[in-house]
Amino acid sequence: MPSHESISAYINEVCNQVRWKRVRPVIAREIENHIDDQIQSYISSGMEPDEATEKALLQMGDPLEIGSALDRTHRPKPEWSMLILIAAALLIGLAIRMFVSPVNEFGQPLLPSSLLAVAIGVVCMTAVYFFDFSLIGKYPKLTQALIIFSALVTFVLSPRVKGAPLYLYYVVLLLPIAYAAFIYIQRKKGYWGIALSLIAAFVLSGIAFVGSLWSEALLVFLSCLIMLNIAIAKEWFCSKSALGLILTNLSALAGVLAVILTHIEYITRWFGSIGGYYLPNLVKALLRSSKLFGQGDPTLYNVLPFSYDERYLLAYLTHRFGWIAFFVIVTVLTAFIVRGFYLAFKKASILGLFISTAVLLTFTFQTIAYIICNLGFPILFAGTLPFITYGKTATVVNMALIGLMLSVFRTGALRFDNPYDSANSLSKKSHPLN
Amino acid sequence: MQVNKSLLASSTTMLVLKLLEKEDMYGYQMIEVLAKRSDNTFSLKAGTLYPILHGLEKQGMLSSYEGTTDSARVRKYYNLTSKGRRLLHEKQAEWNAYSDAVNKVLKRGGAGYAFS
Repeated sequence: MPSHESISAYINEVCNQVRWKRVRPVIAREIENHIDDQIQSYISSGMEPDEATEKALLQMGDPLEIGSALDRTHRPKPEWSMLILIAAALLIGLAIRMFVSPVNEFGQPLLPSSLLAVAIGVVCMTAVYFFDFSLIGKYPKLTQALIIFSALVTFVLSPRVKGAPLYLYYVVLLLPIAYAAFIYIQRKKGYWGIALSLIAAFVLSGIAFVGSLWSEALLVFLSCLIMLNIAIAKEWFCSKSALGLILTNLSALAGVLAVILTHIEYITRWFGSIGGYYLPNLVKALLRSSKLFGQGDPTLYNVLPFSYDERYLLAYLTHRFGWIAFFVIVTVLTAFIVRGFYLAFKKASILGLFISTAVLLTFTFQTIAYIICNLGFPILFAGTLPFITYGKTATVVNMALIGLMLSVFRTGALRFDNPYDSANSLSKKSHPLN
Repeated sequence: MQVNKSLLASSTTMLVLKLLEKEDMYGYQMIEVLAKRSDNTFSLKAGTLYPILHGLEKQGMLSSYEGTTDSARVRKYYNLTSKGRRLLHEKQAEWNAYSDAVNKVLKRGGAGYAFS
């Protein structure tokens, strides 16, 4: 048998033992390199090429044995801790629909549609979980185009409330994913890549901005900026990190100030439109009379039926059941976020890191905005508290996003970013994966 | 000198971690260096090494990146993480305690008695 054929036969035999197909190219490439090194070493010690190949393969060991050992190592593993936290949050949400606020202000029951949303959400999450996230790395431009296109379609077709497209909010949650795909292709482009990425952050958040989603625009921008900072710190652009970080954040700050100054009139009007200080003051009153356990002063409910208002659900729950309810919900969501970031930085490839931080930042900012608002500080618009508040589309979109993040964690620390594309690997001198 | 295989297997993980303590290496290089440093006592097979490396990487003890050396070939380098460094220290302490105990028995009891 010619030597290259016996080598590929050996590698195929090893790889055939490994049931998880996505890991096979990574293994094949490493073993092929190893055999090559061994052959070169035998040849340089005076052996004939065919003999060297034969001896090198012998030196490798039994392909079935090494293949099955690698198969045992590479089993896709679901992140149970994350799944348990999501399940806990979803159950809290459903329990609220069942026992606390079962109907909306028109008396329609919320539980059936909540259950339906969770069911669709679980299907979407599972589908995305088994989706190969590295396709985003393979087709980054297509990913961006699809997300931006759906944002534009929503912008044009969605019914409007006070001039703002109603459904744009949900598409905006996907914008950080488009940004992850964008910075992924700016690799090794130096300061030019950083500048382009900064412009992209303004453009993407601009989509939310022109849709009158001011606070979402700010959150998308902050998500993009944080991701850009991570990419620079990881030397993704192959530029000096310190200088890149300083220039980026200074220009971002200048850009934000410029936007604020040129739109100062709109922004003050928007602040006025969140309900002035009437609702926030009421929320503060609710919280002041809340106990640690059990119900606070019930006469306050006469002022406003808070149980119908999903925007202030957390404040209502705090008053009705005590601060303990607040702490339980916030703890579950915080644990989810902290564990998510830990896994993203410890266990993900660089593409996986970008994608999972995009998802986590979206999740984090929704949560923070909602909590701040429910503490009586209406700085940002309280859209949804993921999984807890009632929201059919929000539940489905959030669960699909989390499915994407879990598919990143499922693959563990191994790099799957186009293993055969050597241009995609990082030079030894700067190994930003650590 | 050739050493009993089961004794080698239990300490291979420690040796792999030790090799990466000072510098990042790729698989083939690790086998070469290990053989050289042990005067060819440890001729580690690739079939043993890669499952160990991938397992350690999955546990977060090692991280990997693709890098090029003077030759044009891109190789997968392994790097010891701080978690891996802790594991190495634990394994080393464990090994020292074990070999001290064995030595004590060997010195006191006499070889024939100890292994009868």
